[in-house]
This record gives sequence, structure tokens and C-alpha cells, in this order.
Amino acid sequence: MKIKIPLIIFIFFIAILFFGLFIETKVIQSPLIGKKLPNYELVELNTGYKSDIHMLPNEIFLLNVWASWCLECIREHSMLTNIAEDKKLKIIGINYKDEKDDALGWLSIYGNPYVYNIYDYTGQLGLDLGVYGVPETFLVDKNRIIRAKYIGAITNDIYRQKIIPMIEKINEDN
Amino acid sequence: MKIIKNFIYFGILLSIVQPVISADIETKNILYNQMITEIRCMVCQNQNIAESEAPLAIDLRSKVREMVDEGRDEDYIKKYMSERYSDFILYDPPFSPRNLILWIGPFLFLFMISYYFFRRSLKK
Repeated sequence: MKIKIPLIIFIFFIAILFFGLFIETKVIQSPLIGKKLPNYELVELNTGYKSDIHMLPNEIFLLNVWASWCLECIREHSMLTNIAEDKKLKIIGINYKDEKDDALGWLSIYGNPYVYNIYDYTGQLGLDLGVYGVPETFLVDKNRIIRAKYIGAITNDIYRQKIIPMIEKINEDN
Repeated sequence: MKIIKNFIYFGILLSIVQPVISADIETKNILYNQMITEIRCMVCQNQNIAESEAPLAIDLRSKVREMVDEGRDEDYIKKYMSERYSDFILYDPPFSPRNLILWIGPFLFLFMISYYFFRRSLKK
């Protein structure tokens, strides 16, 4: 009995530290999930027309934050192209803190899976969306509520195992 | 003669207003410098935005500057940041059920240890 209690406390303490090693600090749960998309008044990247929240599609869509200076976005791009060709989901882009010519050049090189792009030159919309590591992708429903956020490149696994089931769940709820 | 008089009036007015303005600027600067050390740079997570030169840190600094100049207080700025980037962005996270163990854990631990030693000394 004498040795038991300190031992239990010791093991308990070590267990906390041990599990602490595996806590994922890179991926931070967004406080915006379940909230409405913030309002914005920006322009469309290609045409320069005004773009705001009312012009977004009235269905579930992906909101993908990208930039031409972002290397991971190139890796993600072929997956986004696949998703666009799948025609289940529209993708709206947010071109984040980028030069217009660079962004348009990037799209002409790698192809354009986006319905259109919101041009966020100052990064204010990115700030409102809590963007800290491009690429980031939001799943938004037809009421403009953010349902999920994916930090880093969208992979085939994320698309098949997370996004598609999520869409089915949202559709069932309606 | 009138011009000189006006100049003197202007000078008196300036000497009254100037300390008020500079005191205001001074408190704003203090708030700004305090806030940027309390906000975490999300890109380089072990630095605050005062230390970091990451583009996001620069953006957040200028956002803090903007809000301070608008006359916003500390709570407003902290809320603005945590609404977008979660409590993780604050180096001093607010008390909430989720981090309850962080706040009371050490005290609980101290209590348990001291209780144990107290019991042991009683037995002796």
C-alpha cells in the first residue's frame, strides 16, 4: 500500500505526457464550423466583376483557398480537377494574397477546375475564414453554413471517405 | 498685430490639446504592443506575432494596429481573433470546460500529493 499510491500517480502522470506526444497541434479545429460564411465584397479574379456571398451557388459546394505561390496547391490541383470532372460538387476558388497575372497564368498552366474565383488580394476574407495554411478547403451547404474544413491538400482519401459521406449526410438531413 | 495674437491663441490651444493626443497615442501603443505578444502566429506556432515575420503574422499585426486605432479594447481584439482562429491563437486561453483540466489540474495534483503526505505523517 505504501508504494502503490505514488506509483499510481506517477503512471497517471506519465500517461498524460505520453498521450500528449500524439496530440495533433498542426490541425486546429476551426471555430467557424456550423457558422455562416462571413460576408465579403470582392471581385472575380478573371472578369473583375463584383462578387459577394449572394452569388455563391444555392447547393453544397467546396470553397478552396489557393495561391500561385503555394506549392502544395499544385499537388492538390489534379485532385480538384478530378472532383470537378466528377460533377457532383462545384468548386469555388478563393485566390488568396496573389498577383492577378500570376494567378491567371497558374490557371492556364494547370487548368481551371473552379466555377469562378474570388480574388482576395489583401487576405481579409482569408482572415475572416481563419486561413493560416494554404491550401484550405471549406465544405459549405446551400444555406452558406460552413459544414467542414480541411487544412492542407485535398486527397482522394479525403474526398472519398470524408467529403462524399458528409454530403450524403447533409442531403439526408434535409 | 492680429495675426500674432491668433498665433498665440493657437499655440495655447495646441499646448492644451497636444498632451491629450499624445497620451491617447501612448495608451494605444501600449495596448498594441501588449496584444501582439499575446497572439500566436498560427504558421510558426511557437512564436507570437510580434516575433514572427511570417506573412500571416504581418497581416495580423496590421489588423491589430487597425483595431487599436479604431479604439477597440483588449476583449474585442481577443474575441475577433479567437472567433476566426480558435482559442489556440491566444497564448492565455480563456477559462472554458474544454481546458478545465489545464487550469485546475495542477492544483488538484498539488492537493492530492499534499493530502497523501499529510495522511502519511498522521500515521507516523
